[in-house]
Amino acid sequence: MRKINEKIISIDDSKSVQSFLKSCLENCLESYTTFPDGQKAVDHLKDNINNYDLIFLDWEMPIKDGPTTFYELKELGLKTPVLMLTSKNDPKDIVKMIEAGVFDYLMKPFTQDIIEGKINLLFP
Amino acid sequence: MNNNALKFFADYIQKELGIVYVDANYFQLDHRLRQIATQLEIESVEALYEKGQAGITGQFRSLLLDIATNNETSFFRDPNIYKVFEDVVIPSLKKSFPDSREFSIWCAASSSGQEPYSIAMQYDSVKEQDSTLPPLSIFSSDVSDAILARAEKGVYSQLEVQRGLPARNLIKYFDKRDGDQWEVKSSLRDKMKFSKINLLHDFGMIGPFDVVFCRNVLIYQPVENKKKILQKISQKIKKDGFLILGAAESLFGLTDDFSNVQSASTIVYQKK
Repeated sequence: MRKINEKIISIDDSKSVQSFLKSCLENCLESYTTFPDGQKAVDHLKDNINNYDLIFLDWEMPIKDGPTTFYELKELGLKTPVLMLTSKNDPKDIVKMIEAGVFDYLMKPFTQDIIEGKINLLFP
Repeated sequence: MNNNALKFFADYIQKELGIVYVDANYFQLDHRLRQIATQLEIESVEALYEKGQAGITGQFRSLLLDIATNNETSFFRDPNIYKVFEDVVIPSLKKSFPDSREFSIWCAASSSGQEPYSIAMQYDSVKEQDSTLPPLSIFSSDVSDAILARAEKGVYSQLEVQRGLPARNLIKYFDKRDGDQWEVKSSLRDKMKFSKINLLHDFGMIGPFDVVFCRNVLIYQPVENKKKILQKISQKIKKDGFLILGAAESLFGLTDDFSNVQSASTIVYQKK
């Protein structure tokens, strides 16, 4: 993958997803920060709201789920693009989050080239 | 990595899809199996092999069969081409053919269908902004019966629809089917016709077309074949119509039938 210098966040309770996503993005980012649930991400981001370039966001997580996290981050003034990355693949769920304003919506499982494709679109 | 495990997965792919994994590609297979193991929280490919022997289902099966698909085949491959299609080709056709009752497009090597469906989606989104545009018809051909049948069916795995296709387009133009398959809606499929054509043979009674997409075909042909194919394609394009080639291809030294039209970093060719 070509070199980009972006600060990326992943909010996901699955360590294997965090680890695989990191390997997909390896050598192409400035930093990769992970949070195991939405609440920890909101706590961190409220003082750093637009200090990142891209956020990967899971849907089903303990404490605070993806949609609630997204709405709270928008309330805080988030402008960073959010990519949903979730096992939920019902078209109604996709419509809900696209209409809410996420940049795009990816479904698990995923592959490295799919992640690269989205990154290339976002950072041409 | 032990070869028994690689052979086991290669045999599985061959049994399910008919695609043969030769030994020379085992290195690549091994790499992809490691990625699958990581994603499924399995510690090694050996453990994946053990799990596989007990049965391959669900996400494991989806990821494994996806190994065999060609990642080069994605929706909206080379996004610049689609931008030029929207910014240059469609406005030019509208100007050259103001009374046209339909715009006709030929995808001369449509493979598994991502290209013609992407063109149809792009045109549809432009037409939503400009209702004076005529309807679109797309003729798709390929040399392989099997791949053409796939294109005509318009059913893709969940991994395939995530290659190049924004989720906005997925929910707008596809219906979800059982088994995490996604099917192109009839509103797009109705614009399509499919037929087997070998570009080295006679094309038969087709066209003429407003636009021909012939991407990443000529690159694999010797110069004499390129010239022959281009001469025949040229006869099937209307004056002021367009030929669109792959990003790494050009008409230089092959034909004088076209003028170069450059937009941003992409060149398309307009029939003189």
